[in-house]
Amino acid sequence: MDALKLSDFIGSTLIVSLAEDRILIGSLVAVDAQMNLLLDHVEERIGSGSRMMGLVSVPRRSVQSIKITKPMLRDLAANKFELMGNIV
Amino acid sequence: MEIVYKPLDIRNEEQFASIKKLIDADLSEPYSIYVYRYFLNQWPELTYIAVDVKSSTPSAPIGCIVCKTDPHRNVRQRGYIGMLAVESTYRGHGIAKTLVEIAIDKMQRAHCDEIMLETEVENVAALNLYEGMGFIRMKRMFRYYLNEGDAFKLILPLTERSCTRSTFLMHGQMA
Amino acid sequence: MEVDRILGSLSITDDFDQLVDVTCFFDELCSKLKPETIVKDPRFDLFEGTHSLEADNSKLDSSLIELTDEELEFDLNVAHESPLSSVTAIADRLLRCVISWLNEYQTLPTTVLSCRYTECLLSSLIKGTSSGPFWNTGDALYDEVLGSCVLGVCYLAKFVHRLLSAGIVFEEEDLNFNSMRLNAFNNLPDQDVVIKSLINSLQLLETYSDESLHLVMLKHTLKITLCLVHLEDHLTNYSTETMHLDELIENANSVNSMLPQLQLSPPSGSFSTYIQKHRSNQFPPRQITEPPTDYGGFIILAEDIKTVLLVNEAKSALETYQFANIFNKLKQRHVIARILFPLIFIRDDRTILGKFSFTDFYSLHIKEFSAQTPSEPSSALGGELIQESSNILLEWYQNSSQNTCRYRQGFNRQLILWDSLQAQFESVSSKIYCFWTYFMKLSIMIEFSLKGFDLEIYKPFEAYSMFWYVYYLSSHLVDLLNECQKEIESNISAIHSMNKKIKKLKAGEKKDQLRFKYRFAMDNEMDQLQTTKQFLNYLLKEANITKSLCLIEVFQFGILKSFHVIDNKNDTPLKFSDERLIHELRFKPFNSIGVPELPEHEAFQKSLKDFTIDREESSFDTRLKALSSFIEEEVQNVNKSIDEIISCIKAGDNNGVLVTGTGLVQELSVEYYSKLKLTSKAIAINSKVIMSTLKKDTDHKDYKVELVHATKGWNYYPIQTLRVKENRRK
Repeated sequence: MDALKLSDFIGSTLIVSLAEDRILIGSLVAVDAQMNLLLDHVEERIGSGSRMMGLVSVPRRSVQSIKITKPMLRDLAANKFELMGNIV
Repeated sequence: MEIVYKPLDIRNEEQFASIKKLIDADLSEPYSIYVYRYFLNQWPELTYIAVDVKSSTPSAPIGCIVCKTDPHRNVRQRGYIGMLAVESTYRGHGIAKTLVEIAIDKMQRAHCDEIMLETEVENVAALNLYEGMGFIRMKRMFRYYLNEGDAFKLILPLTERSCTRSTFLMHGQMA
Repeated sequence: MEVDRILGSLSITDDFDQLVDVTCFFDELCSKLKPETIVKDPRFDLFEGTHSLEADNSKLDSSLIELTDEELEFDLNVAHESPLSSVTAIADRLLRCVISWLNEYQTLPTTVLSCRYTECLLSSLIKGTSSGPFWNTGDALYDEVLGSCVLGVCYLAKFVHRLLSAGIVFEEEDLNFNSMRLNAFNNLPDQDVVIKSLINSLQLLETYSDESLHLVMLKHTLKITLCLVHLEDHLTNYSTETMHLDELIENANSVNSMLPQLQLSPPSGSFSTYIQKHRSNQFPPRQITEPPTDYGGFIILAEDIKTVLLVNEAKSALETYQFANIFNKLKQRHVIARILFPLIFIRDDRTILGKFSFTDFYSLHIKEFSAQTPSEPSSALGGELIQESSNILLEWYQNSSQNTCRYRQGFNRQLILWDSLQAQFESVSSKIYCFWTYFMKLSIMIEFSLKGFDLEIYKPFEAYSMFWYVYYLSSHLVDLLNECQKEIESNISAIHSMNKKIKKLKAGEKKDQLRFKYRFAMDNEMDQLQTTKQFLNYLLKEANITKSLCLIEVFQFGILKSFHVIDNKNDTPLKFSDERLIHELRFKPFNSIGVPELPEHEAFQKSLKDFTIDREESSFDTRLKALSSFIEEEVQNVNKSIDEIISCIKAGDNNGVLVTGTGLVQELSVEYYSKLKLTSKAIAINSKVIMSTLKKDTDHKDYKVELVHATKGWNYYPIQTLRVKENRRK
């Protein structure tokens, strides 16, 4: 994972936990130096409820945690090494 | 009170935050962080702040102007004033006017053919400020703002290119 | 796929074994970024990001909406206390929400969709249930009566959606259709089913012995809903039947008279922001709107549609032309009426009103304007050019139903199109086409310019240039119309001279031939020639009124400038621009127009000089007096012309001198000319006020000029009003 850069995460699905049992799942479109996230196709989950919210900016101060699925992380890493392999 | 005007320091995160706070308090339209990122990160040289160096917070902006420039239909360079705000206790001292002048001067030097902005029909103070500088109303827009008011589109012409229909400028370019 | 599976099963209570926490990793990577950096997909334009919502920002996060317990726990399957009054209150508020949505341009989620019953019905439709009951309280008033009312409102929404998709008006600006992803309108039952369910409800109410006002009110709401469901008939089969519109008006009037005596309060929680917080929602949170307190909005809706339907009666291009000129001009019509107009007028079967093909309709304009049957322009360009012209003409008709701001912008585009048409017709030298095209172009240029005064586009200092320019345009229009008139006169006298010739000729073949020709002309051409002549008379009067009013405005500006209270430029020196550039920007729409050529800036300056009197001059007072009496005279002429036009309109174009073509819009036209007259009178009074105020005052520096709309007057000619300048803050 350590070889990955922020730009590698662009386009991948992040699971962002906010306060009070609120989770936003969306694909990362942009991130700034303060780690304010811009997510697209956001799905909000609260309890058992789920709804879509489109393009959402998530300020760093609201973020409790950012998670990514293991398979997706594997894919990211695999792509990265493949790419590096090609260069080498 | 002693007001000093300076360009935005985009590397100064505190400044970014205080500009956002200043504008959020002043404008009715809601702006996300990425509205500010759009302007400030892409055209950092076109945002200016005013600070009161004699106050207890000499580095905190008490006023700011946020602009950008873009080619308009590929025929003329258009400067755009996106946001302008002055803290309420500092109003009536010509700070807004100076900020606008500094920004327009900068955009003129950056070869803009015109400066454009939109403002609410009801915003008499803004209309007076801009119209006093030569801006004229080009069109009225029906229910433009979230608060449901009409808006005027204002333009200040800086060069001849501003005064010719873009369709004909395009033909000119091809010729 | 594996990712989707994991995400699909993910819930808070699940174990998070399949997830990796990257928070610290992200923090670390971000901290290494330069502060100005944004990491993003290169294809993503940050501009899109300016439209994003924002978590935990109360203005941009609908999750933060706070709902009361009643709103949260609102149960649709419970009949609330005293069902008759509560159902009446819900139906009433829902209908007032419709008014708020359509008459006051509010959004769907803050009006119609703020009703929990609407939300419920639409979401049942999405799930595939297409017939009620949509909620089960066990009370027929809720399950059936309210159900049919909500169903009817949804049916109206379906019709509105159809109107919006026609692309005539602008979403967000003229009409909001944020259906919160509940766009289930295609699953709605057919119109007859909806109607039947409303009628059943009405019949059910007949069985109630209750004598209360609530029952009467509830019946009215159902009847109103029924009328709303029928609105689509005007499009589906181009119905000109106004029965349902009249009923709508009647019922709305009845409701308006009962409402003050009724205490209606819908059960708490039945209308709320619930939908914004719980449904998929890409928009910032907004408070639900407080709908209007009466049903006046429905009366406006019905009246405006009735006005639009009148166009079906048009018998000539003259009448359609005048209809389009005025129906949306005095006040902005209801958005549904504005959309219906072009859809009824320009039909799906590519006819105008089901009567003319597009090109025939176009030719009709030429024919009625020139009293000649147009033959296609000779060159090969002809056919294509006619096609293009008829399209531009239809665009002109469509533009007439735009909202007041778009209307002016539409003309900004149109004037270029007509200019190019005119140039093309000139190149194939087709006189009658040229005349009419030029007439349309000049009218559009004048309308575009003067509409700017109505929209308060111009500052007082710009009034001179604008009025002088419109004066210039209307002079050209007068010249053109005179030329057209001459043409008509000579055609008329050619026919008359045939008769004289016949009398001189000896009996024989030649005489018979000429007599035949004469009779043919008298039978087939004379009527149109006379009508056109009288229509041109009217257009000339109209153009002269415009010309005079502009001249008066120009004179007033000249007087004000003579006293140094105004100039045709900014009153402070400019740092970044100059007087000439600003002038040229203002006249940008016209600077490519071939005829009439836009005068140079210098010509504007010189003309203003001619209208200004030097105060040092000894003849100042005499000249001022002369000006003043000239203005008075012009105003009298204008008023006289207006009176002639008004009496002609009232008499139904029957006086043998003028034809106005206003048969379909008589009242509106009279109203328009009455407003114009009021303005002309106000301008005359203003002249006197200006003179007396400024003459008395020796130090004139304290005055400024404001452009003021005369109350109940016509806003195209504002009053250049003197105001005492407020002292500047020290």
